[in-house]
Amino acid sequence: MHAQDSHSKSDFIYRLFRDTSEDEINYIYQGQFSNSIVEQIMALAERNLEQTEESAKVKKRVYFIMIECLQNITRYQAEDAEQDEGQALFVLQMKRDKYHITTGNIIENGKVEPLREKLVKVNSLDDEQLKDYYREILTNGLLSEKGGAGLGLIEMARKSGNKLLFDFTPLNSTHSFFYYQAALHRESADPADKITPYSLKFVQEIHGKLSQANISMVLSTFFNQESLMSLMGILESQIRKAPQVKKKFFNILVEMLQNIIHHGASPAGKSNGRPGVFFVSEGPEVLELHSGNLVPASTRKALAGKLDLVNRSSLEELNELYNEKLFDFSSDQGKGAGLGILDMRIKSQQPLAYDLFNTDDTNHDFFTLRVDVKKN
Amino acid sequence: MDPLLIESTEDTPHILLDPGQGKFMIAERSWMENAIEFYEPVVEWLEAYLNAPNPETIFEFHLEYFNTASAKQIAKILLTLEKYSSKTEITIKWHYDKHDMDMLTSGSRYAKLLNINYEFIEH
Repeated sequence: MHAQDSHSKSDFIYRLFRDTSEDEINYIYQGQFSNSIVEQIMALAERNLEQTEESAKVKKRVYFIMIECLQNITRYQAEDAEQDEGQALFVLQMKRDKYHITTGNIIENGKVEPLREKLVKVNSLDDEQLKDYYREILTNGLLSEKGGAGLGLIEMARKSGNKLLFDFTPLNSTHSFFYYQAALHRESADPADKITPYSLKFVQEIHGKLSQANISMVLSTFFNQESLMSLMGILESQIRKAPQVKKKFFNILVEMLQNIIHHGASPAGKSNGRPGVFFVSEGPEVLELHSGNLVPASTRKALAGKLDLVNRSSLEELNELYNEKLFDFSSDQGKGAGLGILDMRIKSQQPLAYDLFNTDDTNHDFFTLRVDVKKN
Repeated sequence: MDPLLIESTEDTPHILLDPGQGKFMIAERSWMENAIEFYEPVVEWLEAYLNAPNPETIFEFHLEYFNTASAKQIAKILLTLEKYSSKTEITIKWHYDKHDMDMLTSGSRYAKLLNINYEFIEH
């Protein structure tokens, strides 16, 4: 049962990787949104935007839309405090030609139609008309009882320069899940290139998978030390566990991702990091860290052999292996210490679950790894 | 001998090696990508110091956490100290948080494998 579950997750990682490996970043978070989480999400976007050659104008618009979206989520949480854990969703995608920012939250069914009408109205207007509409609402004080009046929506439509994508998924007789997505063209993009509903469908599909598997965050990006720092910052506020659990979690996280940085493969022409996927899921007793990345097909056997050896060794044998390697400086050429896998195995005290997939490229295989950290 | 001071960053530790004040300390976080490169000048400085050391050298590790690449470089530093233990009385003070059993385990591992005086300090 457990093995089956683990396999379906590695399958999920591989599909996610295939669908997002061309993108600079795909960051998905669902759960409670605290101020520090919002801050770290903004910092993540900032670090990534800094690396692009985007103009200050486009960057500002991305920030504006992100802040608006995140504030909507926190405002909603505050309003619906007595609601059962208002699981909200936030997705940031930086693709080659566009940025997509998606939010999702639960709303009462009674609010679905009025909101839909507002969105349809906003989408039917061009930029000039949006300006007039905005002014009209301001001067006439047509503020809805929620105080929003759709002013935020109008501003977002104007800043993004594209139609807003949205959808409502009924949950039960009283509530629905409301998704909406704003897309911005990058400066280098062809403005005639239209936004398709596919980009929202993709997010909805992933969201469904995340909820089923109890996954709270996913990051797919080019991993390097910089992105590892961003991830540490983000998880620092997202992982709400006892200090000793948190520390173990971070130790394993660093080893896992530095293994990708040191040993992962990168398709030709991409040198700013190793493409990979990382996510965290929570079981009743453990936090699971999952990673997926390309490895040279030539190293497949050695890698599997190493993991099998580590998995069948006793704690005593593992410690002996570790001590041997710790003081062996003969192989001190590479950046890694060759200790990462042993360290994760010892700290986790569980076998390391892994999978290897053939990819379309015969030179590269896809490697997934799962490491468990006990919550108690 | 001139002290060696390296200010910490997000992923590199704070290092102060100062024979004048009798302070030798590596602290905070150490999880850089390239640990060999980072620790090379530290090991070089130590080698030079140990040629004419103080009568006593108390070396403190006060780390929050470190990666395995750093673990290996710490092993190198400890081995260097051990090599010169006839010239200076060496004590390693290994600080750890009482919740952090992994940090205590790491320290015990070095203590067991090396022939140096090791003290554990719980916080």
